[in-house]
Amino acid sequence: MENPQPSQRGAGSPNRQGSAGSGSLAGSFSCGSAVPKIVVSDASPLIQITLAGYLWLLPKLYEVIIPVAVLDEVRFYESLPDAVEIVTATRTWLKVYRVERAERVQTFRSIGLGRGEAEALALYEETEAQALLLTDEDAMRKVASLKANPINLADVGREAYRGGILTARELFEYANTFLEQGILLTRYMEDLREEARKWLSKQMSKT
Amino acid sequence: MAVQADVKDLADKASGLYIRVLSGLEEYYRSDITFGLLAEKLHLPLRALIEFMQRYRLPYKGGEGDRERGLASLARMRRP
Repeated sequence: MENPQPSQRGAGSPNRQGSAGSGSLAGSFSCGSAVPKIVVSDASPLIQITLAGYLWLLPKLYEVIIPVAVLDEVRFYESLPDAVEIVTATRTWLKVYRVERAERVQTFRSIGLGRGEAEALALYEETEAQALLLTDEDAMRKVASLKANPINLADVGREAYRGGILTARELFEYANTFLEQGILLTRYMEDLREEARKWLSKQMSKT
Repeated sequence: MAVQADVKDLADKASGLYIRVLSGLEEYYRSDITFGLLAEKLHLPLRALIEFMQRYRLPYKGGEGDRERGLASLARMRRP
């Protein structure tokens, strides 16, 4: 396997877009109108979106990068289908980077982040990433307090809908898959399913 | 006899792990610990903890009501 690759980017001043939206917690972390181009992903959302069968969405929306610690977590059980799918993606669109500033990882560990989360945040800092894909609200709060721009898998679905990649019906199915299969039971995914239901009924009332 | 002892040992370990995971998850819902850090504290691979969450249909902390739902699920799982 060609990855993990050595870091191809040095530490630099990030050129980030995106700002807080409004509404629910998930909404407050959404990217607003500016679609992020480079997204650093933590391991949990990467595994969850793969389990739901929607890993293919990510490269249609973003340039996705992950640190080595995230790859290590993903491939712990390397023969599982989701691990195989993600590792296969590292040969094409999913880029793996080694974090250069280990001391930043330690700093982020000290505020209560796990190894993968801390490396993802350090990679976000070192690159020109515009968002950090995470699962739980406490991780999102912690990185937001450090001026990072966290997003979750509901935001990903919303961006796919806005970008015309998913129809309202497909967006409903997207959210429903996470919820019905128990892959990601959260309020933000329930909110997304409700939003999709409304968009869908609005479309149907027009026709 | 040795096999029986091994099986009992294995069952005890499995039972202990299950209880440890439930306790860890209670801390997850009651505090600001992140999911990644929880897996580390439990010495569990992240993927195994995700599987556990899915199998028992446990919520992640993602907004209003998730913590309460999680704690209610844990209480149900602890019932004999």
